Amino acid sequence: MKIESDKIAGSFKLLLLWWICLGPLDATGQQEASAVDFRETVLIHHDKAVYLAGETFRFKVYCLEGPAEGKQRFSRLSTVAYVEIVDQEQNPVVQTIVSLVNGEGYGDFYVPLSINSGNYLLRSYTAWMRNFGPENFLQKEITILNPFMVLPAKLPEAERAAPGGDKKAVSKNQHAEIRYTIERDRYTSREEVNINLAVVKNDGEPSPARLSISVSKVPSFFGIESSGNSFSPKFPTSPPQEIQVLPEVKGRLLKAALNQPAGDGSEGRHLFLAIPGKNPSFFASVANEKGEAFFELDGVHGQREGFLVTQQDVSSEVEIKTGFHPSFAVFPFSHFDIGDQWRDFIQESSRAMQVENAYAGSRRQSQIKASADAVFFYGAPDETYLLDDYVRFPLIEEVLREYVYSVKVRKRRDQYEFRIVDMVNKGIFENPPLMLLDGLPFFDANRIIELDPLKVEKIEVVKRRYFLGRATFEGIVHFRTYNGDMGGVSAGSQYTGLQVQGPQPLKEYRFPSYPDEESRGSRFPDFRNTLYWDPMLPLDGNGEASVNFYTSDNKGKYLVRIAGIGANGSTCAKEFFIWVE
Amino acid sequence: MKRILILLFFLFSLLEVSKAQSGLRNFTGSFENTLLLSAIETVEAQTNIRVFVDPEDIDSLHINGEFDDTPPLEVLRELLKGTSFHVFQNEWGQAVITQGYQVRPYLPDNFFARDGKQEQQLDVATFEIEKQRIEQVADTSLVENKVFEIGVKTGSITPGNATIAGYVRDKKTGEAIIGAVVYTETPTRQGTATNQFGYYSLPLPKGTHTLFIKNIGMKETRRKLIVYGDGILHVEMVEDIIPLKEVIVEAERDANIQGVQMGLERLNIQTLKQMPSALGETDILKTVITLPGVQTVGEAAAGFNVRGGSTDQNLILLNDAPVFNPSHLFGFFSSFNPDVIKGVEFYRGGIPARYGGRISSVFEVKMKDGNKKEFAGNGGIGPFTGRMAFEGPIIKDKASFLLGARSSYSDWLLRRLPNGSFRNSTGNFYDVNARLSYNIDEKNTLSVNGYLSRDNFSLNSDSLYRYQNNNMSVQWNRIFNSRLFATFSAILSNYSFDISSDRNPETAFNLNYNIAFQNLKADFSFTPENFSHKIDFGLSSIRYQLDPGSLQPNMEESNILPKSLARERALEHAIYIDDKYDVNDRLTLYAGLRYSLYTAYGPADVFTYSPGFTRDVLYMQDTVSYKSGAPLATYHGPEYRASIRYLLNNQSSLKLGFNRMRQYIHMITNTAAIAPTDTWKLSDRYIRPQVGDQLSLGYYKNMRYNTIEASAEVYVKRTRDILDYKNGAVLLLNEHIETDVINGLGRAYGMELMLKKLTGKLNGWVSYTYSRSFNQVNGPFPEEQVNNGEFFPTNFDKPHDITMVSNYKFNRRFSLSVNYTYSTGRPVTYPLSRYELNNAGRLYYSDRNQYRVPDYSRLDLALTLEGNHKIKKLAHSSWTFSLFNVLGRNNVYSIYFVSRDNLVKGYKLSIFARPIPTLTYNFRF
Repeated sequence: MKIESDKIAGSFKLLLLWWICLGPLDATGQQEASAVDFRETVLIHHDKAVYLAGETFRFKVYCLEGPAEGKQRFSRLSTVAYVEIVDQEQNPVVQTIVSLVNGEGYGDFYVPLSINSGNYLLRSYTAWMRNFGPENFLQKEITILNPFMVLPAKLPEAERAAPGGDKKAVSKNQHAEIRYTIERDRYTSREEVNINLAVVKNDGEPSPARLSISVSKVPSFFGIESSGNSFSPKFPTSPPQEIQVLPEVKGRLLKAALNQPAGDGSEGRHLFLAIPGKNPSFFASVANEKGEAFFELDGVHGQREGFLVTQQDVSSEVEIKTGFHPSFAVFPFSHFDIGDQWRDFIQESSRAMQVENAYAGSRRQSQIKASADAVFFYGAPDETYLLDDYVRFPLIEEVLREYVYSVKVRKRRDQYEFRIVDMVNKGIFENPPLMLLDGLPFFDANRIIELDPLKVEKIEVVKRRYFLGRATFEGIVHFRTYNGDMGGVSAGSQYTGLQVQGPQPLKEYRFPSYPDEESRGSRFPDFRNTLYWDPMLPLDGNGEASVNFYTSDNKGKYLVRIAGIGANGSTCAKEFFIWVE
Repeated sequence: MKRILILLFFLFSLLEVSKAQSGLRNFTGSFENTLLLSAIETVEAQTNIRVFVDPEDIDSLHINGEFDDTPPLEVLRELLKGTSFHVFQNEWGQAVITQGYQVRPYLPDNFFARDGKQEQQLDVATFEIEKQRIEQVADTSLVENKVFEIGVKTGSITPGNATIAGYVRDKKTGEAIIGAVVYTETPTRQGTATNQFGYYSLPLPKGTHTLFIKNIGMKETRRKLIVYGDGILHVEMVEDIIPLKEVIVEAERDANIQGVQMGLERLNIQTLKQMPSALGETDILKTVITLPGVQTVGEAAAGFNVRGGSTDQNLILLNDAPVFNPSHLFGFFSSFNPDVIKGVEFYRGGIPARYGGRISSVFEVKMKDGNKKEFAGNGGIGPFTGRMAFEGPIIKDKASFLLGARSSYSDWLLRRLPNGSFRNSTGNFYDVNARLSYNIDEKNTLSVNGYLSRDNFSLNSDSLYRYQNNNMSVQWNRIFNSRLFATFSAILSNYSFDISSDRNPETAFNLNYNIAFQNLKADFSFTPENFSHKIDFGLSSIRYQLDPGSLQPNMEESNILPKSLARERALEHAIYIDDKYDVNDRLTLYAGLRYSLYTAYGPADVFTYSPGFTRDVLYMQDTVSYKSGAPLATYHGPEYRASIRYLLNNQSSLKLGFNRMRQYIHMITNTAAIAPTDTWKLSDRYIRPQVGDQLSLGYYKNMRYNTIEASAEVYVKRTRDILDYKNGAVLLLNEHIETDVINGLGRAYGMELMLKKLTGKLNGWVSYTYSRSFNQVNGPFPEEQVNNGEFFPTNFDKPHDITMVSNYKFNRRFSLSVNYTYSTGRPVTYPLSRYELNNAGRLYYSDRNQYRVPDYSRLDLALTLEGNHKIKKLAHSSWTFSLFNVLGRNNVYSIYFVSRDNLVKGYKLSIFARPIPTLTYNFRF
């Protein structure tokens, strides 16, 4: 019963947040936020203790809501997490975004080869967390070594910062514990390793948990305490002062600000954000009185080139916020103390990294999960014309006139116009439809007419009045090219080009396996520094899991790290070593 | 101190390697063109080293080498020398082979020194790794996915800026692009623009970049770079093509301006098919009649008159074989099945030297080649005919066949008519076309064509008329070299008719007529090294065998006396050469000479007549018998062909042409049109060859980007020795036809104006022709004179002629054709008065052709509806609805007078006196 009321209270809180944040989009945005005390934090488990430039940095993000002790849980608010690597001069060297599903997300990035060895800041946050200031972000020190550049000079003794970071002891709020069994801790090359896991509560009962596991090479002199992994949530201590950043509850929320003097009538103007391509995305919004428009970029993955389009032919300056937080909290970097004892490790890891990169083309350790062709915003069109099914004509005008009966082409003087046949009311709409080319809207049919029909794969027609947000279209006609490159038709000047960064596409991590003699004897080199990584380790009903993977040809000491969130949102982590000899 | 350190490191490294290498033996052995993989196995077995490599990468690599007690790593290094593979030995003594990248096994010197004395240098390895990573994921066949390395690649580079520079050019033309923007987005936006030579220069931080290049009208492009130092990068941009209008590359779009040829019309089957037709079937002869300078005596008349020439002066060729009777069923249908035809070339002036034998025109019909890729068929069902054609490969991409057949079902229709006399009538035809084409090799192609047509008709069960054309030709095209091309042809053509009647046993008869034509010829086309000349030459030999008629009783009761005319034989040889010479950009000359030699030979009996008298049976003197092969008459003479084209500008030109033609075979007819009972007669001792001269001048202008062609041509023609007939001439089964024919002189002149548009939604042409055609028959004796030896208008003298042919495409499926023709009525001879002689009413006729039938005017229209545009369907079909003579005008074909019961009645004959609707279904699969 208690749980029930708790759930209801939580839901109510969320609803309130929604109402405040998203309901009146045209409200000031600076709400009396104290009315809502909703706090979030993120935790990160990454695969290696120390990274080499040229290696892949794999990570898992856990996003929790709180802060009440023992009442934490996976956050139901944010669906996007931001992850950055920042150097000591506060320049981001890597910025990436991952999707959160029920508070969990994962991704990876390539540690750039152009950066110096040193200690870097890994920080992560959600949009909602930005309201609490950067000091409440997840901040963690990461050591990156570039084997191709000599190490930077040591700082003079006086300028060395005091050893800092989050060297906190393991948090007390451990309501769950990870237990593991492993046959042995020494293995040979290309041998199977089996680890059995179980998560139990303090009382020994099996606990539900979400886990991630990494097995990666560490210097031989590493002890457990050197791994530097702290894994406990740190919630903001107070509610936000004001809500400046809206939470991202349905994918990335992009804010476009029309840089125009107030009272210019930009309010109420329809704005469209289009990401043209083979799998296009299209979003509609209406500007508020401040000239701001919001787009929920649901389903947009990776770095995409988009266009902000206004129906009126006004080339207004538009400012787009990236979503990454611009300011930094003071972070006490620890002394970068890498000495000659690291030589073997760096050299071995560097060779391995180089071989892995040289063979990156022929081996796919990870694959982007094949997502089914995303459905475009209007769903299934009423009519689809595959141009290959018909005689090819040299002009789009002819294609439409010849067999796309639901699109009527009109020409007044030299101006073309399209009208759609209304399927519902059996007539022809009075106003032009929404005209899309690979997802990019055009308001001048003459531009579409220019298109070379040989480049068009299909034409989709929606023969109904279509409502998108507050915009109404009298039908939609969508020209889709084979290459998703708009058939060479250029966007035009009233379109503001912008880079839209969505969350990484989800990957499936794959690791080599050597089940038989033949594969063990294979000449294919395998010098992985990370033997295994599973960001979403499934547990069975008994809170148990078994992990198996194979060692590589890369000999040395490996740290196995299992981290996760157990019952009541309590964190749990376990670390131990294995050796490949 | 530093040196010692380095030395120490060095020793340390050596020690490490030697330690790792312990347990490895050296290798001794040799490889000769050995597969690398097996060499590796050999080395592994002997030295105990483990080698890692992707076997797929090296599976086709063969190596050589000889080794004596060599460390295994050295052996591998030596083997991989010169390939894109590199090898290093790791800390565990294993060798790892990598492709395109050399692993740096050691850390930089002084890696751990950390004393600030080392310059922060970036190892080139970092860029190489990035290049590998970038190129491994992208398709590097696209220039945009390639990674360009700029500057000299040294082992390591210092951070800082480098300058890249180069030209931005148009990929197609190589033209410099001025004002193109060249920029990078990351790490900061840095850009520049190209100068007036298309040159740019841009400083960039060393490292990886994506360079964007933009310019108005050009496709934006990008280049991936790794900048090691200063360097050059040229960029080519592609034009951003916007298809504003339909662009169909038509090489001969301005042929009418540029070509020296005049009086030529090329009609392809598409143009032909959209013409409205009277009986629902595409008829190429009827289409040709709509061209200026071409006339017919009336609808449903076979044959046509070109620039005042008679119907027998047209050389009608089907795949090089002459067709003596180009029509079916009194001319209601032409002999050419539209489904198997590629197109028509029609010359009415400036006839090239390779053609000869007819005076007025050349009408050359080409059959299409069968589909060499796949089997296909088409056909159509009209109200009177059905047709079907199949084509397909015999040897894929090399040989194909085409087989087309057409048949009327008019018999079936006639029998359903209520009128009894029609029911007893019969009229049907069929024709078959076949073609085999074979591309023997790159230089030789061969085609074999066959054509067969049969006609049968009988009106109200009277005499049964039958005629047939049989043609066959073999053509061999050969490319001797890039300059000399030749066609060798062997041609057979046969035409025969017979008339039989068995209705009345007493008069039952069978009459036969037959022409056999055999032709061997070779045509060469030569392009000298000097490309301003183009020379054609060739030779041809024809053998004619003509059976002018044989009449036989075909029933025992028949009283008909058998009569058979002697066979006529002749040979016609010709050689020709012509040259087209481009004097300069504006002036082109064409000159040609054809020399023909004609011999009629025996066996034959030739009558001689008393000199000083008109040729008549009365004055017949003697009979001279010629032995087999003995020449009884020989004619020869040059045929000059010349034309000049002068280009006034790109849109207009002037042309002047002259041609002389000789014709040795003549039609003996008493009708203006071709009738099945018309006989052909070879030149002999009395019937001299006709010689025609034509001089023409034309002005041609193209407008609106060559979409509208305007032309004006004027011509003057003079023909010697045309045939005319004495009053009361007997033309059939006449053993001494020379007594009934007289030689005359033809004269024609005219002006043809034409405006033509062959592209766009609305296409077609409008023409106006003013033309006159006169004959003069002025022999020395009154019997050999017509109209007192004055020039009189020919039967087909129709001075004014306006033709409009138009087709409007509403869209690609639906089109409307409207044709209109107006012409002056043709001349006729009227009876002027009636008189009685021996108690019988007689008519006194005017001079020949002094009156005219009423003017001719006709409007036709046709609607064509094509099936939908889906590619995959059972058959592609279309419907054509045509309405012939929409206005229902009673156009007079002829006026004749019949004296009956002492009354003279005049009759007007109209062929299609009311609108004739037809519906035709066509299909192809």
